[in-house]
Amino acid sequence: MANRKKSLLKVIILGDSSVGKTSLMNQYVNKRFSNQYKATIGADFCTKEVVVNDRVVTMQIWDTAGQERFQSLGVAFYRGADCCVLVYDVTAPNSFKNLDSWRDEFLIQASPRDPEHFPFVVLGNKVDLDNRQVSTRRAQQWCQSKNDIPYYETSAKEGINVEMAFQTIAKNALEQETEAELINDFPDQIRLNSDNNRPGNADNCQC
Amino acid sequence: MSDDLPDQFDLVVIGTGKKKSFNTPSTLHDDSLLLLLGFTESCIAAAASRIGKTVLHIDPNEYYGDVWSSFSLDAFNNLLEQSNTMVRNGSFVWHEASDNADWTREKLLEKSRRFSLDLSPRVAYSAGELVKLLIKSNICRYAEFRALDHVCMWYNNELVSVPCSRSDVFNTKTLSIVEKRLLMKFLTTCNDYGEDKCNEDSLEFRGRTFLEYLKAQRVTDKIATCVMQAIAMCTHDTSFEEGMQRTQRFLGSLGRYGNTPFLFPMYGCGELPQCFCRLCAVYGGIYCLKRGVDDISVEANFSDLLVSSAGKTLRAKQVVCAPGQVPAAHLHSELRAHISRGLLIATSPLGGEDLNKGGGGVNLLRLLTSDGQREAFLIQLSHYSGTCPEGLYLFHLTTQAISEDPAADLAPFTELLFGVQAPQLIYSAYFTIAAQAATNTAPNTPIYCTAPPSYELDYDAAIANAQEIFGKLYADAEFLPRAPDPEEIVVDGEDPSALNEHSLPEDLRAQLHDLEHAAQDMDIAE
Repeated sequence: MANRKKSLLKVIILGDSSVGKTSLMNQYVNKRFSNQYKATIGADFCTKEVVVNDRVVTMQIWDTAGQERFQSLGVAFYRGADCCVLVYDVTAPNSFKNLDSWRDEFLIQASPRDPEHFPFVVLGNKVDLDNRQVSTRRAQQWCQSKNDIPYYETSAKEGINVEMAFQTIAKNALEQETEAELINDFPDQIRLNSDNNRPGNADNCQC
Repeated sequence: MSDDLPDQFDLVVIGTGKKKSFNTPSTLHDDSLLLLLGFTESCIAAAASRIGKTVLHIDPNEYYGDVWSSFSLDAFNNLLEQSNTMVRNGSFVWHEASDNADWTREKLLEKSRRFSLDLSPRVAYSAGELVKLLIKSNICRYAEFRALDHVCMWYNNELVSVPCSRSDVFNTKTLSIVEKRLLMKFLTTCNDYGEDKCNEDSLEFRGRTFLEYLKAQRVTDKIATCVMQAIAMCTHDTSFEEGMQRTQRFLGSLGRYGNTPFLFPMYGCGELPQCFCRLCAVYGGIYCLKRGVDDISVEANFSDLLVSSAGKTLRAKQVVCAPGQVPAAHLHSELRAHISRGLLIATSPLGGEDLNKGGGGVNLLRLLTSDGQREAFLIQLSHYSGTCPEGLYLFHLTTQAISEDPAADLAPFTELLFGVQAPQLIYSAYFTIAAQAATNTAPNTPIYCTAPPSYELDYDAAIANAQEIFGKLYADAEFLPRAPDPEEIVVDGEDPSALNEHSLPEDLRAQLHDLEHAAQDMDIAE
């Protein structure tokens, strides 16, 4: 079975607009933070190699590309996710309340095989700010009630807990696979790219 | 979740579906475009956003793709029960057979979300327009495909796999040695055709039909059927030149990804519009599902269009609309039946174990009526395509509509396929995709209307349509130039002008400046 395990983990980040999803991703992958809120151009997912239990895996982290702003994320975004990161802003109580609907939305759209044990990780972001409104206890309670989702309080700005949170994300995503002995559901999938596309010419006839 | 929709756009793209009002944002600005979210509209939206236009994409539906979308079984049944403007004459029945204890209606509905049922299923030639566009634009990073396992033909009341590769031809038991030689020789000739313009055949058959040419080659009936039905996909009237061209198209797509020249998108064709929308969003396009358009008017003395939507007036330089969405004042044309569709679910595949080794994959079959006047194509999908639960098979039938009764339009084909030795059907559904007879809007109005899905196997016509409209919108701009990979964009320093501008291609650099402007105007809550 070992050789059939995927070495690419797809992680998606969900949560209300402006809770810091893109910033967390940038802090983790590029060790950068920008205070200005703006549309990211050209970049929509980041990849990073991580070592988990002595294995090197490639983690591909997908941002919402702003399509969550008017609740318009399509089902294609959720396909094949190995872990879902739910982010809220500790200074914005509504973004915390909405975690429920983001989690439900994920379970409906991605319809994972084993919804009870699908790996989620919750991040309470912006702990560097003074006007905190959601207490750690409240957040922990919610996470416990949802089958003990791991919870981290982060600051994308200061780089607090970001590394640790993503390590857990990678570990849980990978463990999920081991537990489920996930054989590849869809073998022989094809990704298009120019490399394996031989130029067409008159000698190309296979017949 | 904020509802601070800007109010000015270069382009607004509007999807079809029922017009509904929802309480969402209120106005947009700058240099913008609004649009609806079918395949063609999504292509245009992505292309406009990619060159830095501000794009708003709105759709009254709660899903992406309009008549190009895929649905769960529940949602599909709901759609057939409603009377949508574009999808009509919908009906479905359950065939509750006694020996089907494993798959009852309840079991199927329980697994509703394991289905991804396409309204407009297609396959793509491996070297065709869609694949070329996905690679060229780098949108291919959002999609995965499965190579079709078999291309089939109907011969002597039997389903036969058409040999596609050299080894297929050698290994097949359906052709005699002589036939194998003839087929190889014929295909080699077709492949080389066009290199020598003075070629005798080219001169002799100019203006005649492909069938005449085929007959002159003294191939057997079986090979003629194979070429006409499956490889060149011709009718009796197809001209010699077109037949040759089609054969070459098939041959040119061989040996690229799989054993056949075709690819099918994982999880169904409804994924494709979403891939284009994702690119549009990554380049700053704004997406609003569940938002209808009440009216579009041209502002007096100004060139802008005013789009009223859910209590808000949006300003757009140009509007692209799916056919069903253009307000009546701008388009005078009745919707008529355009494509007749059938969707059947069975517990066994067509053609038995031989044609479906390892549980089957994706098979394609083109069918002709006995008089050769009408055709349909069938796409058979197993769970390996990500469109149905394991153990079930989907049969998608598509033909050009000749009436408002899709089941009757498809009857000659279903009788052929499911008459004898039929797979055990457990569900069958039929519906019509309607379209406008004409898609011309009032002259001098910057509203562009996309064509509905046409009867075609691949996406060539849809892409050509998108490219044509894009050309009218932005005459000198490139259509979907390559989007860089995330790693190619160097983030440099902590400064907000974060992206290292010098490392960006010129068009992106200009776009970055525009976006910064737009971001300042957008008044987004921090």
